[in-house]
Amino acid sequence: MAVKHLTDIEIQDYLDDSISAQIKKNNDHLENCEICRNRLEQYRILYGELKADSVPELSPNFVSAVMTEIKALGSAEPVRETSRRTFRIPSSVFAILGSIAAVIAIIYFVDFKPLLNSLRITGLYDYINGVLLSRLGETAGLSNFDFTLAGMTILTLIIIGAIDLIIRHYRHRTALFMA
Amino acid sequence: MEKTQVLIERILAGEIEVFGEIIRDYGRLVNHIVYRMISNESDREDICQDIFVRVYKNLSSYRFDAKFSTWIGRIATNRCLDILDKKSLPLVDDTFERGIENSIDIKNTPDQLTEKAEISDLLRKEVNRLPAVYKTIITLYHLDELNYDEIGKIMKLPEGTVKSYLFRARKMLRELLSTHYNKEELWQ
Repeated sequence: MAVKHLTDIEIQDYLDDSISAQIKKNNDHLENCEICRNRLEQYRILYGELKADSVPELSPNFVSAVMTEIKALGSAEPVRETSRRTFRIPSSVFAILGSIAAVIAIIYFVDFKPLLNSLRITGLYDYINGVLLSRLGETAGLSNFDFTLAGMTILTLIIIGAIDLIIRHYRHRTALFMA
Repeated sequence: MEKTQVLIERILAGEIEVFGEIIRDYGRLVNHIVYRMISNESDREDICQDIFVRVYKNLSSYRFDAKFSTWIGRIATNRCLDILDKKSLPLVDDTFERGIENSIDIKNTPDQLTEKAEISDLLRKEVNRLPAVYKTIITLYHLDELNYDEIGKIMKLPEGTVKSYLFRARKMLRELLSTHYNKEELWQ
């Protein structure tokens, strides 16, 4: 049977103390396998070096320099927010209100007829209108057409939001790789 | 009540001088983040200073439900990212993978590297060559002894990603050393 050496992840887990049952089982392997023992030893030294690594200290007058700048701020000093803390509108409320306003604006200004016609051709409209939205419309007491518009605009907003989220996520990740 | 919370309460009550204690307690953490993310040596201290001024200005918005070190670390990371963004540095250093292979100085022959101090020096250089995110995570984990969750909150990364980056960075460093030098040369 081929010898299965420990992976780098398993060895690092071992040294990080997140020791798993699997690693415990592999203790025997570590005792008998020189390759894995060497690798473990290399990691051990590496960990020691990383822990002993040093970063240049801030200059001795750093604290006084910051304090001088802060004192120069004068009226910009932090103010206890006890009174304001009692009533703080979460940003999610603004997001929801903004979305509702956007939906209303889209329904009011955008002409959906061409889009609906093209959906009719594909048969998608009948499916959405006939099966899904009619049930929702009956439940809510609204006409199918109202729901079609609302559904489409909400869907559009969700897509825009998702794209925005992806872009922001991507920008953050790539920025972290800058040196 | 925790020491930091007491200090913050006093600062918010008007005792500005107490903020010096906050700087002394968290200066190391902020310095580590800035040192690893900003390559320009002459800018670093000014950026640290700017971060603490921002911390002071925003102190009243700090909610005690999060760890103060995480909150302050996040301000530091965001500031560094803003600076990197403004300078429009290349998104990913594409010379990194290639460069790390050729990074050992020719004058550092195995014979000359038997001293531990030289190996430490070599490793320090290699850590500095890692992408900013890797070296920041390494420093926060090994020097500041933060856990994956805390690092994730500071760097705005999922815990699993932090772990994955940390493992990858350490693997690179180990492989680099073992590729160029055998065990006896390195660790005697």
